[in-house]
Amino acid sequence: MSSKLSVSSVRGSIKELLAASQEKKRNFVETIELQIGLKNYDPQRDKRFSGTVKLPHVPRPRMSICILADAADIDRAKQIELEYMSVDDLKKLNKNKKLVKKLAKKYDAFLSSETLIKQIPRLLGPGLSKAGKFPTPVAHAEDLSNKIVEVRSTIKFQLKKVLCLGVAIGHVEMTDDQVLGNVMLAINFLVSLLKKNWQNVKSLHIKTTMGKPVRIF
Amino acid sequence: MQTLFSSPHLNATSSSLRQTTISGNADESYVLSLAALNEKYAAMSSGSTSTSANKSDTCPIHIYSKNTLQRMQTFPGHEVASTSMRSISVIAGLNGPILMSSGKDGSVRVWDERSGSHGIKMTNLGKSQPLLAFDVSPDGYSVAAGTELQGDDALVLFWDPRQPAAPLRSHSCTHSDDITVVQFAPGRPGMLLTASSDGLISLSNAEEPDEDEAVVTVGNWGCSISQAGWMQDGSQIWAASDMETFSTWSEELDLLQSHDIRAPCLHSGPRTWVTDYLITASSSNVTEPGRLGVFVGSNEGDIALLSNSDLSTSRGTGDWYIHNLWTAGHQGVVRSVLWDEQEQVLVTGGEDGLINVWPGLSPPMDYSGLGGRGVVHESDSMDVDSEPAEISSRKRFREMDVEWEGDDNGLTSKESKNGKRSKR
Repeated sequence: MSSKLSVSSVRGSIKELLAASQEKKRNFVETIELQIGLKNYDPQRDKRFSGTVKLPHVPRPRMSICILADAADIDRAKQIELEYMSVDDLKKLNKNKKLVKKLAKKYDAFLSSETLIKQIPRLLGPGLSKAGKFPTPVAHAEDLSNKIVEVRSTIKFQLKKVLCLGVAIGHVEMTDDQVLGNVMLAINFLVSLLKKNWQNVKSLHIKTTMGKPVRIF
Repeated sequence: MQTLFSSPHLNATSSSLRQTTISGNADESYVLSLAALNEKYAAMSSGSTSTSANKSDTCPIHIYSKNTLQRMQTFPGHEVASTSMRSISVIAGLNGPILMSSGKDGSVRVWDERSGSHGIKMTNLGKSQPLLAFDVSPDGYSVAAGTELQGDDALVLFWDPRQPAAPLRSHSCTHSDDITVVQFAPGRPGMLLTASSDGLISLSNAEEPDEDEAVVTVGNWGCSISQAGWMQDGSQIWAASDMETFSTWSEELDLLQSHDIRAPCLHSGPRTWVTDYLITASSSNVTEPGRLGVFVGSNEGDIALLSNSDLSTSRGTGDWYIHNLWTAGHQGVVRSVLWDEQEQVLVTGGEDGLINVWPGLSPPMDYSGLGGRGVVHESDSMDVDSEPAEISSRKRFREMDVEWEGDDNGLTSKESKNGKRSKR
């Protein structure tokens, strides 16, 4: 599939976006969002447009993660200063709905040792599922730091009833090359899932949290 | 890119046996779902476009004769939208096949052919939380359905179909987004498989009144799940996502394999095939006994049947095979396929509003031998038609095998008309 976007013009837009954000510094790190408008698409009866995509550069470095860990993974978590909870910590919650909800709210995402993940429903009840934060399993053979990068790099997109959607693809402390890499990968992946590909794309904008949207298509 | 191997009996058909359109005058309905009843097929229409349609529009369900594809009857379907439909073998003591459907009006309906209306309508009192999927337990005495996310809740509702006005119970904590799959386990009474846009696939106890205790096992795929079902052995599970990935899971919901279904491509030899999307997977013996058939489609409307030599281990080193191609029958995305084992035909429906009935499948792969197929036929030997149909279809395949290497358009269409005649 040929890309309809010229890389150099997208790069120009990204530079413009980052410069505007530099000019008026905020006291937090602005997120960069990609906004997609669709056409010739009927959300009532066309196939759902939703999924996840792993970006080449971490868009959410500050995403907080906790591992529900067995003994071996507690040691690994300590080495990389990853927050963890042991089986005993989980048992202390006593399946109490409020406590599980509080735990779910405390972190953006959870990992769990593969050996432990089957016990999660029994230890915690359905609270993490309900909160949309059921852990991602991690095997002892997998590198824990890589797994965390993977979780932080993976973004979710979902079209609901309106014909536009936004996804956070980066932040203003990234270089223009990094933002470009993420933008191009996200766009090409999303367009590949549309039945008429580029003919389903009405518009593409990039925008920082506080900035003006810049149209790239 | 991954290699897609051509089955030794790769068969290609470019003309269907019968075709009809679901659309009335100037509406552009999609065929969203198909089901087989006695002597009939049911097709669920999407209704016309949501922008032009007035709000009271329904998504009708049309009934066609298997032999002629003539429309025989139309059920009104559901207000707002019908979302899923299936043929059920037993419900509330009534023996099927009986047609049931769920809809965004919040009801599950059992359709009665004699009255042309619903016989049983399961509702949630006054509430109408849209339902996306449903299933009936093997004994026919419980019905489960999954809702869209509304506010903070995506519910699994449970009914006794003999008391349809209100659900017996609901589970609200299994998922955190639209519930797209609800299926009772074939061999484990009371065990329910659910999957959702939240990326989770869950096994839960349908009979557990305390929802905190209901969930037994959870698998996290991390991407929006659109379909799931049991593999042939009745314990392992397959699932498909909205981003055209396909996975298999152990009985304990360990992820065994995850594939991009668009990756395996066929580029060598006289045929090429590139997948755009997964239509569905079928555990009936479409390719050979004991192997899952994966139906995939192209945006142009062509259909292929794939299988993989190893989906049930975590190695994931099996090769993908292409067994059949059904081309030029649809213009647009194919939304539904139904393998009619009894008639040995494939029924397909798409966003072009067309329903096609296609000649069946290539003979089984060499190493399984013809024996496997024979066994399948013995099991439904009640069907008087099946033997001559089998002979004529074999003949058809043989002739086509020779033919597809050359010019297939003119010849195959003539050929399949012959096939149809010899079958009648």
